[in-house]
Amino acid sequence: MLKLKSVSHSYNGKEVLNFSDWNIERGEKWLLLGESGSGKTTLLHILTGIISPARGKVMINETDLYKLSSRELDRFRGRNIGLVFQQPHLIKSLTVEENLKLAQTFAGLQNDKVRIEEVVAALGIGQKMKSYPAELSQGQLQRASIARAVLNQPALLIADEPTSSLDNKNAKVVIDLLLKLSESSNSTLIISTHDDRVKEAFSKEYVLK
Amino acid sequence: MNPFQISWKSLLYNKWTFVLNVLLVAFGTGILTLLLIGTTQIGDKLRGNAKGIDLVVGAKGSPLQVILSSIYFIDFPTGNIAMSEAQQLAKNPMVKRAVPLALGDNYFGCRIVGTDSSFINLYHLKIANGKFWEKDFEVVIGSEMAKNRNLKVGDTFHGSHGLTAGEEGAHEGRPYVITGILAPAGNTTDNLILTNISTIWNIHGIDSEGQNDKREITSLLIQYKSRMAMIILPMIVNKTTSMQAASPAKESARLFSLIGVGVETMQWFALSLMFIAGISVFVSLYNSLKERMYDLAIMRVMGASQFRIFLIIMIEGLILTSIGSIAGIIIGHFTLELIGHFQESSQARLTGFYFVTEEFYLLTGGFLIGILASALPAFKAYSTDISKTLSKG
Repeated sequence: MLKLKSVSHSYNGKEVLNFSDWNIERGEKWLLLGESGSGKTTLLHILTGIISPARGKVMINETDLYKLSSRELDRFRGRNIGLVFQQPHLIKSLTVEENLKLAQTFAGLQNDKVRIEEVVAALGIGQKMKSYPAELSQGQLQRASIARAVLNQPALLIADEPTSSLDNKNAKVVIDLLLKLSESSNSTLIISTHDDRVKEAFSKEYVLK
Repeated sequence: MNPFQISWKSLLYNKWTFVLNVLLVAFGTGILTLLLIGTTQIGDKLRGNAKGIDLVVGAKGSPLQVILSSIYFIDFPTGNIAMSEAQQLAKNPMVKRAVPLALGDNYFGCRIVGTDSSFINLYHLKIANGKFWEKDFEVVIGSEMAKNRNLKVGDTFHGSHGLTAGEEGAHEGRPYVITGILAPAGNTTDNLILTNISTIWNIHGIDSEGQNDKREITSLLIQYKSRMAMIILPMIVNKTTSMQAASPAKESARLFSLIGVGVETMQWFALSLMFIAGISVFVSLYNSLKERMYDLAIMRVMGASQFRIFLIIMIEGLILTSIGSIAGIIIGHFTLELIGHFQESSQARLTGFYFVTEEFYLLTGGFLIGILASALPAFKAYSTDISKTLSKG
């Protein structure tokens, strides 16, 4: 489902990072481990087509990401990849519902209110649909940003240190939700972390050195 | 959600910046609109009233004053001229038509003008109601005046001394009788009261039959028979008579150039306002980018193309300046209507319900400012490195 082949990245032409090859089958749950500064975020950006690597290729479901035009890549990302960031971030000027609608629009999909309601209900923020991001708590924000990531039932769901700003209870809830939601939409899940609280739930690991 | 909705919501998010920018654009456009429709109207009125009048002959004094008092009915006349002298000039073979005017009184600021049928022909006046005057003290009134004072055929009134309302006491004795109301002509005649000259003499105690030398009028409006007259006739009047000749074309051009200085100053003021508005829109968008970079990066992650991000920022600038210029045009019209409403001289009343095609240039101008002001911020948003923005958090 996802193949990483002889990919390397360089910052400003120096400091080369080499990534070992990586094969992920459909529906698998992986952990991406490594100390901070080891290039986890960079690798995730490469996997999602946000930053193009110096060499190598990334295949998602038979699509060679970096063979796509910039426009096609944006559309592909919107439709097939869901991203959860370390700091939950929604667009400030829009309500939760509008943020979710936007995710459908930008992926080139029709606005589907039923799907939006289904997802926010699953995440327990149904009553916050009409609220603006500034009115949400940190935990609610993180759930809303997960809602946005899973909304279009992406083939690949990626979370970049999703628990680092959360307490034990919330961290567990978030990990459970990610597992449950990726299961229900049959998404492949990759979570990058250096958080020990996360590790026990996963069996497959890709370690950066 | 289309780009327009996204831009709109983002503008509302910073509503005071939004209001400030719209106000700036609106004020600039408003002043320009006001000047545009104001000066066009004044120009139209000046030309419309002077149409067909080649020369005005009046008492010696300021030629501009002669024109203002006899064509636009706004200033005071320079004095009187002898009827006999005027009649002699009217007989000159170079004169096609000579219209005598006798001013002196008013009714609520509308001037009572003694004249003859040549005045009716000069302005192509038509009666809407009733008939033209036949005898002394019979008057025909302009359409605006009839409307404003709520006067009908058969009504009577007393005139007042002087040429502006409330200047001196009213004339006692015989009242004027309205025999007709003119159809709207769109010029000063809409606010005039017309009668024969002997009525004016009568009311001021001058016998129209005897005492030949005492009969005077205010001025004579002259239409030339040939182009030659243009050069010769003013010379004859100024050199050989005690009267003076004033050219409406020359004097209104002079008047316009006097107003022009003020208009030009205001224009530069308004243009600099527009310039400041453009800068303000630019700065607002550029500054908002700083805090919105992450938002825009998230949009890219959600699948928005670079072009869509570019569009969202462009549309924000365009919404600001478009709303501003439309509001400005409305403000301009409204203000002019307000000015017209409080204007003292009813003869030169301006209206806000007056539209010129140049207003489209103002709209286009506002649109262009929007494009110029948002192009750079939009391009910056377009070319942002999402990976770096996201890593910074």
